[in-house]
Amino acid sequence: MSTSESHDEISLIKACSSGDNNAFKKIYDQHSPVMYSICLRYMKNEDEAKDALQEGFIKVFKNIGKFTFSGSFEGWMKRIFVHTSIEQIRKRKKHLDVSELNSNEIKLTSKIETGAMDADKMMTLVQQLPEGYRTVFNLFIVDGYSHREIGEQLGINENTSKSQLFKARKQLQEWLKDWF
Amino acid sequence: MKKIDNISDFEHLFKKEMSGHSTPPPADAWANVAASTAGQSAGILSQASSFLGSASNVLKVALFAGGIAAVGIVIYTENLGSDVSTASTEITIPVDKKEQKQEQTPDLQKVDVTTHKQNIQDTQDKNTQTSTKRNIEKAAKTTTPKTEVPKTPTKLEVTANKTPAPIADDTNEVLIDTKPLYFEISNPKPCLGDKITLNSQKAGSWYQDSILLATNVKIITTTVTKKGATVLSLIIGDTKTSKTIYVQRSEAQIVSAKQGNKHFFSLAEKSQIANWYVDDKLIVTNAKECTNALTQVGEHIIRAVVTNSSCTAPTSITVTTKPIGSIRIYNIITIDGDGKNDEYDVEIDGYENYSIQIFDLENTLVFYANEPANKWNGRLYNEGTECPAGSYVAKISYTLIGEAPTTKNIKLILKRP
Repeated sequence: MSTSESHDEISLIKACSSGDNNAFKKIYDQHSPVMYSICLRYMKNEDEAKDALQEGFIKVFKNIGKFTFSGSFEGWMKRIFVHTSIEQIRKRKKHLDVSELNSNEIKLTSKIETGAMDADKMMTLVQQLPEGYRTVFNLFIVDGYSHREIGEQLGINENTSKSQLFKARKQLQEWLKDWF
Repeated sequence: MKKIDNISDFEHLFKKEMSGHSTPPPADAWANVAASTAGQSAGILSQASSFLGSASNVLKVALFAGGIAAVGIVIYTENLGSDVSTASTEITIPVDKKEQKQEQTPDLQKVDVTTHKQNIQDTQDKNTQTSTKRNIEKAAKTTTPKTEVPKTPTKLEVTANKTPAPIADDTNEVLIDTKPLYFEISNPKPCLGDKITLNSQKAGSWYQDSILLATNVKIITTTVTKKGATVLSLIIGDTKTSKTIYVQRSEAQIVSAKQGNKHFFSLAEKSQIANWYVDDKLIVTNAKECTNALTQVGEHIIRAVVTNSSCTAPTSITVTTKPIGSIRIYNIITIDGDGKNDEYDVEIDGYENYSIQIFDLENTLVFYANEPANKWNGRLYNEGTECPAGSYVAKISYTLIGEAPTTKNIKLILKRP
């Protein structure tokens, strides 16, 4: 997205912030697939992802009036959905459980076929990572957060974030043996 | 679709795929959000009632109600059940510049897929190998700076950092690093066991005959352990470059001959010269042949290290020197004139030194000699009084040719009629 949103989008955002339901629907239609994909990446199944998506959109609505047009609207939304997903995970579990993550071997609950690797297969793999691994992996690898930021987001130590990432990689590597 | 070779590839690809990835949400997702539009006022009221406790909460509710007057967010609070507070708390989102950068317009460059061809010459065999040609799709290089951005939690107003940055696409267009991948081999004609150094401009994963040597390095040193073709590969991202080298090895052969009591050794290949070792002792350097008596009984290892042909393996042969000398010792002397054992006889052949001393049991020397022909006849020094019958000890020292000096103490019986 470039420095300026398209005129249509700006007017949509403005309409939405003044309470226009139709504008909201348009924004939802336009952005929900990408946002849902983010939620899927963070949450462990579609139900949870749907919850996060809904909550995220509600937040978008509630706060759309605060959007200043100085940055990308999609980027702004993405951050809300990443944040909402994490919040949902934390809400489900009082604390991100790091201890369960030390089990040596984690079985893939659903097998993925070998052969060409595509987005869906990668998503399936990442979703099956234990929560802590998955969250750190997503934040660090895809969303570009630093370990310090991840630590702050998740309320964990920076080094824990590093070790979670290490373990996530190790686990994925194990699962991906057939591809290498 | 794409080939992945390691976890970094996976991560890279995952990031790329996920950047613009979209999945249609379940159809009923919207319904739940939209449902909130109806009954908005009632919801606001009910929510407001739960926040009357604090002035700031009242203010938030007022803002909340104002901001989304027409939207009706109330269903949301109902969905959350008792967790009402989340609906009105302010959201803090960390500003993440990197994240923002990724939202920028994709800056894609479409480049034809490269093919490299590298001719690898080889060796005396004049083999010419063409390295693997591959059509390579190279995944987009997202060069998002890894600098950490100081982050303070802020409200949703986010100041954007408008730096355009590449973003991965999900089309089949490929980003490619237009620099071809080359690597150099320090010694393209190595001998077996030589170390070779591989050197590339860019760090990558190195393979020797499909065995991973190292990842993410520019220079690597490895040893060639197999005679013949060895394939060296460098993988950077999805791009693989391979070179084949031929590892040299030839064998020398030692020819041996014996003339008189001397052994002669030479190399079957007359043009070769070598340093010659006998039993690990250097005998002669840069010579076509080696002469040695090999007098010591037992096995000898003759080793030739060829000096004018670097890829020729050192070679060796084993020569066994058989014993020349022999000795037979008896333990009896019978002075009865029957012609048998009338003298104490030691039968020895092929010897270098010989001596015998005979003692009685009081350790008194009764006879000595330095010649096996000089045999004890049972008298003191062969001339004096007769030694009495009984036990004596003969101390015999000798050195057989090619063998170590030996001393034996033999208990012998002197019998008289």
